[in-house]
Amino acid sequence: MSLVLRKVRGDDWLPDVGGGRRSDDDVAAGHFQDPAGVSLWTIDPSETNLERVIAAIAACRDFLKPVEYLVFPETILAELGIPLVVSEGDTPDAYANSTWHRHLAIDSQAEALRVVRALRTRGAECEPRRCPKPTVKMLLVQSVQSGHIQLESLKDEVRTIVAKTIAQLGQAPHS
Amino acid sequence: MPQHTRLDGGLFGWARAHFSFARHAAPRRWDAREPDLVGQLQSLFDSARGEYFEDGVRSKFSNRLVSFMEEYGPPAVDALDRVMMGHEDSRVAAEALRWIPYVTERVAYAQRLHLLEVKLFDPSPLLRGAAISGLESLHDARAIGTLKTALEKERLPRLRGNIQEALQELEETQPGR
Repeated sequence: MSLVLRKVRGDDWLPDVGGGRRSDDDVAAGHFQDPAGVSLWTIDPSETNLERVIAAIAACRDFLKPVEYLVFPETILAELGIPLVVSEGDTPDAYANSTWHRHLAIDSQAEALRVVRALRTRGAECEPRRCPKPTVKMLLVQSVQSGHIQLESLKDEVRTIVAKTIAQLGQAPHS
Repeated sequence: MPQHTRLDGGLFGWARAHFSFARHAAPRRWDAREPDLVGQLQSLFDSARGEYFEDGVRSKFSNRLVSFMEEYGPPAVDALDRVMMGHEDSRVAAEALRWIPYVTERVAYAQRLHLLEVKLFDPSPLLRGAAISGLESLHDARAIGTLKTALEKERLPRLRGNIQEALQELEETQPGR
């Protein structure tokens, strides 16, 4: 069973995030609405490409932060009749971009809400996961060292931290 | 019962009693010549409704907010606190809090640290989450005590986990360890 990853902000899944002014589903649905297409990644059933995808997501950021994401069965989208479209990703990992990136063709708030409600019915299985900052840093180091991501493609602060860590480990990054 | 309602009398009251902005600035008389900071921030918040925010990624809103805070300095922090408390979209308020560590000009470090510590006990779970994230960004061991108090009082498992993560990182990187 193929899986799909969507980066989210885990706090938006907390109870009562709408504060009585908006529904909780409405807040979470914001992660499934983007005029440019909602970016997702396919993850193989044993999640062997998960860490590389997390590194690719983190590589786009201005600052090193934990990566929070949902992983859920692709069948949830199929059951809702919402197609996953193959599309090129926009991260510094070219292979990940061309192999695993997809976008979701959602064009209304109502559809985004349907996705969120379907995820919530799955309970803990579809709760946001979190990759802590130290782990994100090491995944970026691994991606740079294995040549998946060029050090120069990282933004200033992240590049400095990754370069420093690589130097501390005593290993040179691939050029 | 919604979590934030339950916290109103307890956590929120506790935080208000322990943290007061009066410690940092005496109440000032309003001067008509002063810019309407609350109004300007309100407009900035309103314009950010619907904007997609991602952790660690600068946004149109965060760039404008940081510039605003650095332009007006300490009074802007008081104004921000007022706007965050009253704004309809707590997502935007939380995003503002996440960028407080990056306001490096004209706003004293102690004032930024203090604001984040106060918000660890806010009734809104989104603001508490943002405060944890902000303190993680500041990476200051002086916040350990407040984070430990917040951990004792926090009831949401996800936020408890985030506090523990922040504490672990701060304690592991303390000098002398």
